[in-house]
This record gives sequence, C-alpha cells and structure tokens, in this order.
Amino acid sequence: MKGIVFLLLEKYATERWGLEAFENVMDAATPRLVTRDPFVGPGSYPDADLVTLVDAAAAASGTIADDLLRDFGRFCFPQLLHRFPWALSGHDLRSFLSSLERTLHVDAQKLLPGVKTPSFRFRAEANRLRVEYRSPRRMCALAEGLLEGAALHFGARLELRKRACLHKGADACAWDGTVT
Amino acid sequence: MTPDQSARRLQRAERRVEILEQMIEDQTRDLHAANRRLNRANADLATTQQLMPGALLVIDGGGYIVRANDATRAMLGFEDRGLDRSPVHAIWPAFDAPADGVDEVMTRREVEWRHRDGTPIPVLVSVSRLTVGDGADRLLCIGLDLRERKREEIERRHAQKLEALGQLAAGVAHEINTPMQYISDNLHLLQQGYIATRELVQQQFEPTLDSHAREQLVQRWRYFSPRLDRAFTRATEGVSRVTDIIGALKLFSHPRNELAPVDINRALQTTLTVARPEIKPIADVALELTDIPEVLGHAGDLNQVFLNLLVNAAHAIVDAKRPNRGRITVATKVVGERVHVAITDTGCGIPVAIRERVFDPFFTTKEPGRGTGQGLALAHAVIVERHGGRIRFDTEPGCGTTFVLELPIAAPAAQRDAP
Repeated sequence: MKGIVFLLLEKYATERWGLEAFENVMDAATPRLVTRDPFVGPGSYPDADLVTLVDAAAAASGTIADDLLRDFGRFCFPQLLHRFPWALSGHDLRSFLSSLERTLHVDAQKLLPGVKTPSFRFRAEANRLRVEYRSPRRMCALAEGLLEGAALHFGARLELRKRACLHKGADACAWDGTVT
Repeated sequence: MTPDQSARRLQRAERRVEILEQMIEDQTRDLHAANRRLNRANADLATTQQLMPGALLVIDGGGYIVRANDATRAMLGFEDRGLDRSPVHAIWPAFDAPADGVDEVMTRREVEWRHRDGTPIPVLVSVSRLTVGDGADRLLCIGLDLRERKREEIERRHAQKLEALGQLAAGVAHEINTPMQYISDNLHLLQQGYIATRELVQQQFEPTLDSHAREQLVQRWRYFSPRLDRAFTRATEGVSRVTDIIGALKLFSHPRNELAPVDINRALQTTLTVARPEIKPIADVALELTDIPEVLGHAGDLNQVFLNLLVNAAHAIVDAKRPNRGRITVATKVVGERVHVAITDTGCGIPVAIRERVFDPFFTTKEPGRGTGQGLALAHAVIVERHGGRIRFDTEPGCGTTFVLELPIAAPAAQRDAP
C-alpha cells in the first residue's frame, strides 16, 4: 500500500477525532506494525499495517472496521483526485468510472512507482450500474467508499447493493447500483 | 496529547524529513539516469522514424500535421520543405477525424493520398491514437506506398495470364486443327463436286460426247450430288467451331477491366471453351448452371480465376492417376445476396498439411513449368479484394476438391463508394 493512503488515514482520523485521538490510535497500533519508520507519501508499506491502523482506529472510535473504511473511502476520493486533476475533466460519474482503468490507474502507476491498483469493471445501462472489484487486498469497503465519494464529487446519488463478496468466497466483489 | 505523544510526534516528523530527503536524493539520481536513457531512446526513435521506408505522420486533434518523416515528404513531393502545420486534407483528402474514445482507429486500410502535383497515391495505412501527457489526443499514422506493389501486381497478373495462355496455346492449336482438317477435306470434296457439275453442264452445250462418256458424267454427278449438301454443312460447322474458339480467345486476351455486369454462366462457358484442350483428354465436364443474375465485376479477372480453377481441377485429376476418366462439375446458384460458383473435380484432393498455404503467393506443389503458385493467390486477390467476395474449398484427399466462389451481386463496397 502506498504511503499516501497512510497519510490520508492520519488526516482523516485527525479531522474526525482530533490529534490526541490519532496519537492514541498510533500508540495502540505501533507495537503491531511491521513498519518501524514513520510513513511517507511516496513509500510502499505492507497492507497489514493499514489493517492494523484501521482496526485500532475502529476500536478507539467504537466503529465497525468496514464502516470506518467505507467512510475513509468517501473522504479519500477528493483528496486523491486532487493529485490527478486532469482525470476528472470532461467527465460525469459514468464516463469517469468507465475510463478509470485506462486513465487514472495508468497515471497512478506512472506517478506512484510500485502502486498496485485494484481492478474495477463497470457496466452502465440507463441509471443502473453494475460494478465488479478485484484486489488481493480485498478492501471492498474502502472501494465502496471511494465509489460513493466519486458520486458525491459529481453531484450524483449512488445507491449500491452488494450481491457478491471476496470475503465470502466469490472471485470478485459485485454491486448492483442506481445512479440518480 | 501527553508530552510523550508530542515528543513521539516530533520524532516522527523529523524522521519523515530525513526519509524524504533521502528519497528526493535517490529520485533525483534515478531521474537523471532516466533522462539520459530517455534522450538516447528519443534519438534512436527519431533516427528510426527518419530511416524507416514507410511514411510516418502525427496528426493533431485539429487535423494538422505535427510531424512527418523523410519518407512521407519524399512520397508526397515535399522534399524541399516540411509538412508541419499543413492540414492533413492537403495530402489525404478523404481523411475523417475519428470519434473520441476510439483507440485503434484504422488498421491496414487502403486509402488514397495526394502527391504535391495532384497525383493520387494508393497507401496502406494504420492509424492509432496517441494520448500524450498534456491530455491532448494525437493520431499516429503509418503509411506504406502501394504504387510499386500495384505495378508488380499488374505485371504478375499479366505474367500469370501469359503463362496460362502459353500452356493452352498448344492445345488450342490442336483443337483448331481438327475442324480445319475436315473443313479442308470437305472443301476438297466440294471442289471435286463442282468440277463434276461443271463438266456435266458443259456437255449440255457440247452434245458431241458419246453416250458412254455422258453416262460416266451422270454417274459422277450422282455420286457427288448427295454429298455436296453434307460437305457444305460440315465445312460451315468447322468454320463456326474455329470462330467460337477464336472468339473465346479474343475475349480472354482483351478483357474489359472496368466494373460492369458480368454474365457468370456465359463467362464460365467461354472459359470452358478455352480450357477444353486441357480438360478434354482426361475429364468430362458437367454443367449445372441455374438462372442467376448478372454480377457487377471485372469480367477479365473472373475469366482468369475460372480458368485457373479449371486447369487446377484438370491437373488434380491427372495427379489422381485413376484408370477411368475424371469429372469436373461446374455449378452456379444464388444464395442470399451472392452468386455461388462451385467447381468440383474428382482429382487427388488437397493434403491436410498444405491446406493453410494454398492461397499463398508462389506456393505450388506442381513440378517446374506446370505452375508458378500464382493461380490460387490470384484467385483469392480477385475474389476477395477486387470483388468483396469469398473463396473457400472443401477437399478430401483421394476423392476430389470443390472450390466455391461467393460473389456479391451488388458492386464491391470499395468500388461502390468510390466517387
């Protein structure tokens, strides 16, 4: 996982619960982190460290980890897009999603060496949207939050209903959605 | 936040600065090395673009040329000045900007470019979209000048035709010799009959002949009288046969090359007349021609294809080395919007190992002098490329082969769209 995500998690926690709460999360998580050095944006770190931090933050805030990840995804979208402003130009939600794999993910791989982007597959028909997500990280809650963040950014309302999940043995997480 | 937490936070911040400084240093070194590699690659690419024999154009979203290599300028007559910022329509009048979002715009399509002096140039082009860093789209176009290939194609076709006609010439000479023989015999008989008739008529005016001599004249006249009608008929038939053969050969050697309605059944019969010497000694021909509409096409080319397939069929029957005569069936019918022509032989069939290659130019299994490997390649080019049709075959080694030509009844798309 790229360091930028860890920094965004710090920003998210600090904005949501304050500096002291974040430091408490760090105190709780540090003994279980694989990485000894502090996280920096361009670095690459074990996915397990993010899971450790999210679990610690969820425990500290009394939130379910998946709900926290989903909220974090919504928070992340505008922050991440801030780095790739050209990826948004001339798009609405559907065209942005359908171009994701061949534009944003390609650019991310150029600008963030070592980044491992998940695979998304979208099928849009009228106001219906079918989404498939594949990633060895299996962070479907984060993906769902990012999709919702994208919808918010484009002023659309996206309702997703999950019908398959990597955590339940499916080969991909899949959602049926409506865009209004 | 406790003082310890503040101290740890400060430590983390300081360590981050150290890590980032080290990263910047590493990245700067890597960037420098990457820049050198990029410059070398750019130089190599620029050299490759200039040296490549094909044309290379980069066209911007507004339809202007932003790069053209030397080969492009040489092909189009712009050696003395560049083509940069020229509108692409100046050299490619029918250029149509592709729709957004289409990455592979065009692959190996024949188009027409325009030389500086206005001469049209056939070019095989492939166009792809280049997405550059600033988000602007450009089109990369690679073009291959087809003029030389077209010239060679015409020459090859010509050579193939000469070869086929050369092969047939001896047979045709033999074919013409037979009717000429009986024309000659019957003319001789007619001459004899005429002399007998003339002498009989003369004696009517010179009644000095004795009765014996007169009886001899009458006997001669009775002998010739019934034979003369038959001699006239047979001599006329012979002349007609020779006329047919010569007519077919003329049609073959002076085909009309423009797109015109072609009576496929008639073309097949004409070709069979020409191919008869090749076929007659070894096979019977069965015609199963149905009522079909005319096809818009190139009669000369189609005749050539039919001849190639018929001669191949005859050769396949010879190669089968059967004791009895072979059979060639020529059938036509309409299937949907196409006319199907099927030429079936009872020859040796096509071995599995070479089926993929039979349409390759210069591929032949025949001994030197009997085929150059151009027949089926030409057939493929004529049927598929010139007429927008299809050519396929069913074969069974030892039993025979059927070649099926599918010809669109309407004009081929490329020619129908032409101005």
